[in-house]
Amino acid sequence: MDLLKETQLEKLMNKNIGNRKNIFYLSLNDLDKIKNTKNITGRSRYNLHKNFKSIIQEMLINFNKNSYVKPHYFIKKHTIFRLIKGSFRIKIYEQKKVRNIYLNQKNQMLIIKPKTMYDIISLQKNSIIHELMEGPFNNKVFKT
Amino acid sequence: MAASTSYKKINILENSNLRDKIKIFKKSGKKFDRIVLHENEEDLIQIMVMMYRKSFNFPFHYSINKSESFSVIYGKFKILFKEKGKIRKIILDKKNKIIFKLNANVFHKIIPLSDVSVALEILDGPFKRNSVRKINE
Repeated sequence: MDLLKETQLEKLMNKNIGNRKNIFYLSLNDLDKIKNTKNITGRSRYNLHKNFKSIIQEMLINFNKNSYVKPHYFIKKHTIFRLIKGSFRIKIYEQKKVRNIYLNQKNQMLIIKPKTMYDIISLQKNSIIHELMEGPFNNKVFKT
Repeated sequence: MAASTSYKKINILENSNLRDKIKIFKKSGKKFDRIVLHENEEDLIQIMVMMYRKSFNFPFHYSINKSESFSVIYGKFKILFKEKGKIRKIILDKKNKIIFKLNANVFHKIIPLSDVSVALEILDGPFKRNSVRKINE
């Protein structure tokens, strides 16, 4: 996993649309507006949590088709993915096999337990995923 | 109510499974039920599928010092909330707003507008008893 220098991280985070509000709501149209703010990874996001210390880090991420997050895992954190729009393939790397999970019309949501290696790829243009993770945010494991 | 399909490392919420749960809920005569997706009360992410009949009625309330995320899965909701002394409203459905998030103690009221409305609710954990404050309490 690549570790980012702080300045790189700030640059990337500035491209994300953050939320400092106590009351916050979004429509699908709002989410379409961020499709043109994608960084070099082909992704852009709305953060719904108030800050990096929030107990739950919650975001909506707009992916270009084929935008890919390399295999990684978290030692103590669950990751939750819920499909909002489009489709995704998530590979779960188990001890002796790889399980392909598709978030599409068939599957609504996936909860990944700690210490589980996974990757994720968008299979359609402007696919949107709702991601949740336990906070606080740790920039050493930040995935661009 | 049983939750998602569970494997050693993951849980999957399948749409067919969810549709079955909604059917059971419709037949049950209950005004409200939930599918708990987190593993236990200690989890920092408390995540639930909430199912409501139109007749559901719960007063303005908030979860004390917890963030609360509410996003529509099926149907339509009216959300009333208090902001700067005024009551404001938003409509939550796939055509309007899809997600409503509170990052502070804000009184709000959930009004299901469809015969059956379903939402995903996410609260900061761990679960604490008596952590909901109702208005005028």
